[in-house]
Amino acid sequence: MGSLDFLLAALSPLNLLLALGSVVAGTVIGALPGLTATMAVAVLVPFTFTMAPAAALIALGAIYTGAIYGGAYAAILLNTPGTPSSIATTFDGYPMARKGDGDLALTLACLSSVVGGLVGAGFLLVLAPPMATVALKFGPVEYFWLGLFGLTLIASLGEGSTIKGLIGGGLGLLLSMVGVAEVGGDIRFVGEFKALLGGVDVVSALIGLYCIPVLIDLVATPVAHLEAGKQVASFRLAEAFGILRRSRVNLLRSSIIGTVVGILPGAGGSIASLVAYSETKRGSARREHFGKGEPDGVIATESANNATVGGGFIPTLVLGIPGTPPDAIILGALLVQGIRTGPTLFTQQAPIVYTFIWGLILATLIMLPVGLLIGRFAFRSIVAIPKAVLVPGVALLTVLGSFAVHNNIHEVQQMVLLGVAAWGVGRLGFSASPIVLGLILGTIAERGFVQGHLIGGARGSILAEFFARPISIAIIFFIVLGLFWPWWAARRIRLAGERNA
Amino acid sequence: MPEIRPDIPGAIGSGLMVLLGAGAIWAARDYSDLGAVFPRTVGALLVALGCVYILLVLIGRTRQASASDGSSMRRTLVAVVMLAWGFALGPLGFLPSGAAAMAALLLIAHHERWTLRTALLYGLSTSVILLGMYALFKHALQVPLP
Amino acid sequence: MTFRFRTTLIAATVAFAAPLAFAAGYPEKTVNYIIPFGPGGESDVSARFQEPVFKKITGQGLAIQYKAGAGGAAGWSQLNSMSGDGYTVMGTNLPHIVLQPLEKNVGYKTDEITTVFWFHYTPDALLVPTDSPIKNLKDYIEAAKKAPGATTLSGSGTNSANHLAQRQFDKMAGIKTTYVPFGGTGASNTALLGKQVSGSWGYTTVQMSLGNQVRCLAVAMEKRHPKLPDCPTFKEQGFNLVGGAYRGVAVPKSTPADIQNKLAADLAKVNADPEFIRKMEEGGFAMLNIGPAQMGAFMTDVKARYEALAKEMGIVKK
Repeated sequence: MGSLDFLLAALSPLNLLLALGSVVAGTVIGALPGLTATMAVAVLVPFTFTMAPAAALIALGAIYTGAIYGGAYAAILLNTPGTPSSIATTFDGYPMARKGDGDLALTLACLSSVVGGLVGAGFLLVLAPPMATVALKFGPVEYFWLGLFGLTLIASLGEGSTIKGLIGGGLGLLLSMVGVAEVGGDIRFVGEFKALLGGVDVVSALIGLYCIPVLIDLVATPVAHLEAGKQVASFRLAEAFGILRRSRVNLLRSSIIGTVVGILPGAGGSIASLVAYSETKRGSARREHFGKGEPDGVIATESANNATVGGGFIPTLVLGIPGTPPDAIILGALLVQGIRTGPTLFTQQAPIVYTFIWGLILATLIMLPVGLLIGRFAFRSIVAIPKAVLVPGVALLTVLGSFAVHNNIHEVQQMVLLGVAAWGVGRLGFSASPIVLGLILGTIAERGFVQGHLIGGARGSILAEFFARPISIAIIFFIVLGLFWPWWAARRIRLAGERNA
Repeated sequence: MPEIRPDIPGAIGSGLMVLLGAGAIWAARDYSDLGAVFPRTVGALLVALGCVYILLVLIGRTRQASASDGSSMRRTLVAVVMLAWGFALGPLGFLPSGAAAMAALLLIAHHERWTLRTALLYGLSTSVILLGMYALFKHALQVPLP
Repeated sequence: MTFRFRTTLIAATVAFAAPLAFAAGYPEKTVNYIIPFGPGGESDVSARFQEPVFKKITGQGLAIQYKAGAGGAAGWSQLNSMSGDGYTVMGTNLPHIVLQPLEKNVGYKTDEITTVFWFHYTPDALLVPTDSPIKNLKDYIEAAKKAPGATTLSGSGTNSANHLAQRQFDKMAGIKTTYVPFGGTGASNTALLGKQVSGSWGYTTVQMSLGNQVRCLAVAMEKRHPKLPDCPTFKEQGFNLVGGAYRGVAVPKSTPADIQNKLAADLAKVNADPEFIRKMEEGGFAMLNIGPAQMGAFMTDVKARYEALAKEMGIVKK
């Protein structure tokens, strides 16, 4: 446990300045659709080579957490996730904005992100080594079931017909298979288009599938994009605090879910927020309101995705295995600084690690006023900008964002093609979220499946491999629960209704 | 009261999905054993679900989402502009294609009449956004724009 | 690559550095260094080590970008369509760029990739968790013989250096093990540490980064790695397995020869920096210096070797 010295070291003027600057930069970068937290971290890395290790870590952690939070802006105001971690925030954030509660949603997002980040950092501070060993227990099979669990969330998303949602998910799954198969090396669904060898890029697809249909529909009517709402002047803080207090169980649970998912190598904010959202919805008495502007939805997703920041650092620092994609870059940056991660990091290089963790906590706290201020600025501008200028502006961001991911023109083309196609199938009644979910989860599920198949075959029993492992059984339980709970609960309500009639 | 019509668009979409699913299964015949599992499974799923939905439409147990209002013409134009932009980006370069596309979008998105004042104001602000973003990405973020 | 070859090459490199047609003033601005893999891997880390030294030597920075996909093929298939002004360079890897086109149509041919400099390699290493019952290579072979196919080994990618090493050694030792490909070294290490698999075909760099959580059964070098004195080589245990993954820097075909030479010369200077060498070796890398003068012979030799291996393993496309 860190002693006060480390906290004081983290409070040095330089470190504070770095934290502040990085949080602001991260928030702005994350807010722009197409610029991900990974990119924000990657951009900062070269500058960190000249810094002291602890300061470098603080800056990287701060920009990371700012970016994850920043994604909420575009999600709430433009129905476009600023980063993949904010996909689930669009579910309820945007409807809230349409109802005139955009400022409330932004404030809730900020507060929830701060709490989530603190919970994640707290686990990092206190429980890092033991939690890291938990992460290792997740093998390919567990990831497969996790992927499947994620896919069942599609069914519960409930935007329109469930069957159409599942079909959308299936489409996303097909898209995830484009390119070279990770196991086996087959080239699938590529045809003559060599540009597709790398597969469909998630971020470009995200931008296309979410932004383009919104953009297209924006021009249809002269009606303003968002109504200003009753009071634009205030942050609606009191109201927000009230809601948070009411939902404190949700807040805590989602933060913990986010931390745990962040610990799992390869699973990041997007999955964490989805799981948290689904769990909150399942356990909520106001289930039918989810997806129509329910504050609890925003609270769940934003706290979960920021908790992955702290959670992701656990395997990164303890095992040297990145918990989330930005962590991989940070690991590289640490290596260049000569810092070897591993269990000894916490004992032999305690000053660096603990100063960093306190710095992360401080950066998360700084995010509170910073986020609220930037949020109000963002809200005011989006509302005030005339639609005619908003459309080209957002369109520009989509093109820039999809290009900037890999500096690849083909991905811009992927983005517009998928976007227009999404608008097309959207007219036919198929929404974008299941498709994106299928795309993200397809890789995880298939990889886990094939690897589990190989290992199970080697060990003698594939069935035992998939069904007899404790963690897998737990996940399968949740899958079954998730699938049947809505039906079961509805049945109980109906039966109760009949009894009372 | 809005009438409940069978979801023909949905059925069309589902039909499309059935075709895609079938296509996936057909394409998978060349893949290695392990590489073909998912394509086949997902393809089969799409075919099955698609057929189920078409069936539901035929029996009349579906509901069409409300038809959207507003100008379809403008919508289609935006789709065309975006597609053109995506493919013009390489040959034309960032600034030229961006300026053209943004100007086009500005025209499409503005419903009211054009006065000199609005034209100048909007044109200027759009240009500022374009150039500002260009500078931000190319120089601050070191992204090599075409 | 043998160490003897390497020392001869260092001498040759220094010799050739002198009478080159230097491109006047190159580089004059930041060079875009594209890594065709995701961040955090060996290609990324070694590039990041190069960055500050490159800046020190040339005064210009290296802007590292990623273009992951298809095990590197996504990047290499687009290399020659990029601008050949010398400010776009890409990392290249062996055996990837030889094996991939042999196996299937990946959008490029080996000869189309113009590598200007190979600057290191990571020797293959067979690793098990420290508390595994397998204590040495002999135990490993015995366990595999007792239960053919039951020993699972994780590695990064299909038909990659790890995979090749597994197949080669299986043949040499007359055993049958199951190779489970993972998406990158990170995922492969996770599986190893979590005991999802019995062992892992990785590199010396993995041993260095995982420290005493893993035990090295053998390493594919001529002599033991200077920083891993306890890790025996395959050779000293009777198996002639030497090799690993090589990394270099390539440019688009259209890049003028004088720029190529200057780039190679600069990279050679980076490679000679003592601090750089120290960091690389501490990371588990093994230094190498192949520049334009030796490129032809090196590539011919390497291609012949890998093609022969590929044919033996049956991974050549029909």
